[in-house]
Amino acid sequence: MKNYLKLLNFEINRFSKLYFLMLAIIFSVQLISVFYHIFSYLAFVKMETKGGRMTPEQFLAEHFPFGLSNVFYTRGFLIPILIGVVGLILYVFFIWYRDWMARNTFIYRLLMLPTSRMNIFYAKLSAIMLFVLTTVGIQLIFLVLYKKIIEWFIPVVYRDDLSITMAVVTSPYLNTIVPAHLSSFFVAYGLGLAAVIVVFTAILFERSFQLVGILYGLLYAVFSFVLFSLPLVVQLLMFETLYLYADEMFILMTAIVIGIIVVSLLTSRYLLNHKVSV
Amino acid sequence: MIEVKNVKKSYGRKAVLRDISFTAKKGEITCLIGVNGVGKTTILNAIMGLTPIDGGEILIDGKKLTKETYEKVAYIPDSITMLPSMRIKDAFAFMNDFYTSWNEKRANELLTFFKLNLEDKINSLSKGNKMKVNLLLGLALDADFILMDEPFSGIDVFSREQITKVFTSHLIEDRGVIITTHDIQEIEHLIDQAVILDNGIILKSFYPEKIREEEGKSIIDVLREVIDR
Repeated sequence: MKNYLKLLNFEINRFSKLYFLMLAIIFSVQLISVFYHIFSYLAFVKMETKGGRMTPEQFLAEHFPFGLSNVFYTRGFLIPILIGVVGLILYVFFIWYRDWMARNTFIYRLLMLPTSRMNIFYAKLSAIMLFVLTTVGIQLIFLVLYKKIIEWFIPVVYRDDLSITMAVVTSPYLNTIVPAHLSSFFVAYGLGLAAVIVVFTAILFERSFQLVGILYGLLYAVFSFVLFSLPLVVQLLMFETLYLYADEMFILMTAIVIGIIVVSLLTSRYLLNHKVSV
Repeated sequence: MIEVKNVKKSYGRKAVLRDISFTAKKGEITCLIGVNGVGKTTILNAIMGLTPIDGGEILIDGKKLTKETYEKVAYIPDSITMLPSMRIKDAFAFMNDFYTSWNEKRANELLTFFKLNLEDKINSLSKGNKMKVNLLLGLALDADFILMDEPFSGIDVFSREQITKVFTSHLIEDRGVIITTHDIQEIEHLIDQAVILDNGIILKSFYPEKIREEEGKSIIDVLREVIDR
């Protein structure tokens, strides 16, 4: 456990500079975008209501008030999120390959540590999950800040004071990364965790068997996905509708995901201990 | 004692190790000699569990490799195994964090011996100094065995001399050493056991001192004989 925590700390320190750079890009772009849309809206309000042409009520009868939802659908808000998602997906691969591919062969050192090699696996996995959750957490803090900024700049009459929770729930993008219910959170992040574990296993297949390992890795990932989708596909093919109740489906798919995680961890342990090569 | 028994290893269709067997004892320097590509590094990697073998067995003090083995056997590959961004003091901290066999006193002694500085950044060091850091990190472990892969490869004559001195110092005494090289002149006089490899097999394994006394031949003489055969 101590070695796992040391390795986790080490992994976090290794990526922290790049990570903070990524966060700085994401949130500065979002912040600029929020200000841009606020000032564009204010300019539009000013233009429309200039010289008493329109009262605020008449304006709101024709146009939407300004709130968090106006910001959520803008490119300046969504593209940084996409950058974060892509960055963290790339990190899933980078976290392993940098140890083999970089100028210094750090993988020698990692594999020769007097600790279970699975600690390396768990440390890398935990580092990714921590970075994902931290990013989401910081996004939530910034949502509070954006709401405050809107309150500071947009007069109350033109403002849509939708709560952050409501604004998030009504946005399909944000609702995925910040689920409204705890159960949805566990489903979304449980699936994410399982996907990362499957990708890690695929990477270890490649690191163990080189060229043919790419094929093994791909087959393993496809097999896991097919297995996960099986209950859904079988029902639709056999009954052309969902035969099982939602609760039954949930239990079945949870069992499958847990099965995939367990098999992936056992496979990864075997590969790390017996097959992986420097 | 490190026992390498009938070890086989192929990369695809190419057999790198065909049937390798030898024993390295504590207190002896065993040298694996052969030109580049004969499988010397593969043997060291296999001993350390860094390259899986296709057949045979490797035992360290009669047991198969476990995570505890890494406290007992130190491996010094031919390139540095710490991150380029690290300072030497960070590398020390890393080793101290993970290895109970890390000997800080010996590490500092080696630091002085190699004229290195704790604040030096690894990526700012010359190739010779990087090799010295690598040696330092391995030798500072209270390990029973030390495996060194081509420690003299591509480094200047002064660094070579300094590294050679290590072999005759108290830093090595009583430990078992397996060293690989394709250039034995530098350390010929230090070797207890020589293992000549070619084409994935051991051509000859012998004790140079015995051959020197009985037949008046140097390692290079024996090397010429077996390669020409």
